[in-house]
Amino acid sequence: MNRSLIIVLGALALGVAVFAGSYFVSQRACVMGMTNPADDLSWLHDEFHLNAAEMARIRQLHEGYMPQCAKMCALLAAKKSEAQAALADGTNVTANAQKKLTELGELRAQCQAQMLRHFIAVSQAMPPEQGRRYLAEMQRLTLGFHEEIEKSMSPASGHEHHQH
Amino acid sequence: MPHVNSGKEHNAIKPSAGLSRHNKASKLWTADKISAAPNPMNKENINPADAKLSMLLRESRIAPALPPRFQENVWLRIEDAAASSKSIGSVAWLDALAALMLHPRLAFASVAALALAGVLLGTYQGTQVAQQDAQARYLAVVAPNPLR
Repeated sequence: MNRSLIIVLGALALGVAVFAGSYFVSQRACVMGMTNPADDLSWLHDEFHLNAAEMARIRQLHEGYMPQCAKMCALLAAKKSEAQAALADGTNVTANAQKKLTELGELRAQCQAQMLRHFIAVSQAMPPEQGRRYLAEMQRLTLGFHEEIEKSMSPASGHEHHQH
Repeated sequence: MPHVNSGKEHNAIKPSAGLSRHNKASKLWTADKISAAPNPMNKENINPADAKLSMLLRESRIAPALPPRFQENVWLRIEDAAASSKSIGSVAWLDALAALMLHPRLAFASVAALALAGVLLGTYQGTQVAQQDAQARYLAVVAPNPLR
């Protein structure tokens, strides 16, 4: 009985090792083979099956957008620092702090609008069906987070403001 | 009716047949004679006196007294035997499985099937992971975290 038990357990261990080994090796090989860290746009090419001409047009749009995005990000970071400094002064929300928060919100909205314009331009460089899918996916990924917060704050979800 | 050899067959052997043949014939004759001896187990040979004797012998045999708790012990032994046969059944199952796993063809087929399944699942998962990584990289470039 002991011998049989050892054989069965050994066979099971061998089976698990073979399966796990082949799984991890093939997964690693696949990730390494498919990942191209040098190209940030490789996802668009693979996901939306774009040809060389479409990729060239999108690359051009991307390169035009990147400096604008960097400029906006720098402005946002500066405005965020100003708002934090205004809030750190005291325990109350001062008029200056309120102003800085409003400016930060406006800047963030401008930045989001610019980002959405870029997404629309990119989607128009794709075949129509792929373009629609890209735009929906990018809106879900970039604005979906806010939608979740807003949904969680709606009365339907149980979030209520009690009047005292 | 038992066959009784009269010895005529032995006498029927020709003297010119040679010494070896004569010996063979004499062996056959002896065997025939032995087989012709009356069998004591034959029903036809039962002697009424013997039947009486055996009946007397049976009557004279003293039946020994049963040991204490004999019946209970018998049942216990039956239960033990059933239990051990059950455990033997499970051991036999394990032995059969072990023997099956040691078949070279089956072992190679199982290893190949597991390796193939691992490769297929690993490739599928790897593709998913690579796509997620690429998507996250694109998103980090075009939509920095403060905008999301």
